[in-house]
Amino acid sequence: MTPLSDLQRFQELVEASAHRELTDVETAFIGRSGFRSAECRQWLETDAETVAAAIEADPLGEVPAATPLDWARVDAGLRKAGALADSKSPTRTTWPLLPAAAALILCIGVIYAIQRDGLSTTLHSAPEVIAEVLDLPDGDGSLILHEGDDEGVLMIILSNG
Amino acid sequence: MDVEKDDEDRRLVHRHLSGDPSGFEGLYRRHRERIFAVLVRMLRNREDALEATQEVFIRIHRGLDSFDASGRFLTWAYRIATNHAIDRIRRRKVRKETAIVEDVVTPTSDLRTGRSQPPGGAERLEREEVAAAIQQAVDRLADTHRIVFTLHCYEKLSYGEIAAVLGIPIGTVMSRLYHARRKVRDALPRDWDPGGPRRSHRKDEQ
Repeated sequence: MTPLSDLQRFQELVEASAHRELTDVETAFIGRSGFRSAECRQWLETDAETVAAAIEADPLGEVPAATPLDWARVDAGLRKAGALADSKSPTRTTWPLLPAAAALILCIGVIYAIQRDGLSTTLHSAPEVIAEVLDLPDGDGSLILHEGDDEGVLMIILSNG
Repeated sequence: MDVEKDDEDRRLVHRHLSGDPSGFEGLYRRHRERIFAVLVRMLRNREDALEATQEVFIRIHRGLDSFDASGRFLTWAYRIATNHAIDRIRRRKVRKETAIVEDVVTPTSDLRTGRSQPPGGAERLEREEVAAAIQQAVDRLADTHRIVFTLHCYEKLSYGEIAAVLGIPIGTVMSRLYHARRKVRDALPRDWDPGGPRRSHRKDEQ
């Protein structure tokens, strides 16, 4: 088949697609020729430049962004459907930070105590470090860390309440 | 559509699948404007498109478990948005809603503000005339043609990307786009010239 006959067949099939359902073979031919043949591609895109230029004049060419109020409505719908986390409830990522902070403070306390007193096997002089995570009502979680020995007590209280 | 954006999408999908709600939220914030824009163009109604955007993202949220991570998230999201737009258009027809273009502004008004523009020179009049012609022509396109036309001419998707979004052969994309473009071109003012001042004949009539 010569390139010209390919182009003719291509044109015929594309035109025919407006009036009838093409077979799989015919559709595949259009797809193949549209990519491989420059002539077919050129004919296929005859109106492309004109239409593209005209589209620049179309107000729908630039859709205005939705307003914050619009998005607030969509957000609310997504929250209701469970797709977005409820902004009023604490996020899941907040609470895992509390045990991590507690562990960090505990470590600092232990290192501080070792630096001050050195390592010792005598139990009576060992610094005492106590951490408590209080299970308070929702929104009032607190962490209290206090360290005590004969010389005094260091107490740290973290609270998100 | 670039690779870096696709990788970030995959990371967010992975985060969502790991149980972190910020994953879906990230995808939503990244793509909601684009999905909204494509729905406005397909549905030709801003309010409808906003509602549809919400429904599309609910569908995306519910379907993320089945998303094939080797594919592109945006292609998948476009597919969901397009199918949803087709459903809505069908429902409209069943309900025999009269005007599809309800609150989409007239060609003489500014789409951003909705306010009428002050009368201008001949160039503005010509521009408005062309805009009106395009809107009418796009409205009159068959749904299947309008969707392909929108994805290609406004969203700048390639033939292959459109085929992937719609799940149809590239040959079908090519033929639909050809007919859509021709109808839009035929609707343009007879003496309109994209490259300059008005002429008395169109290129194909010379």
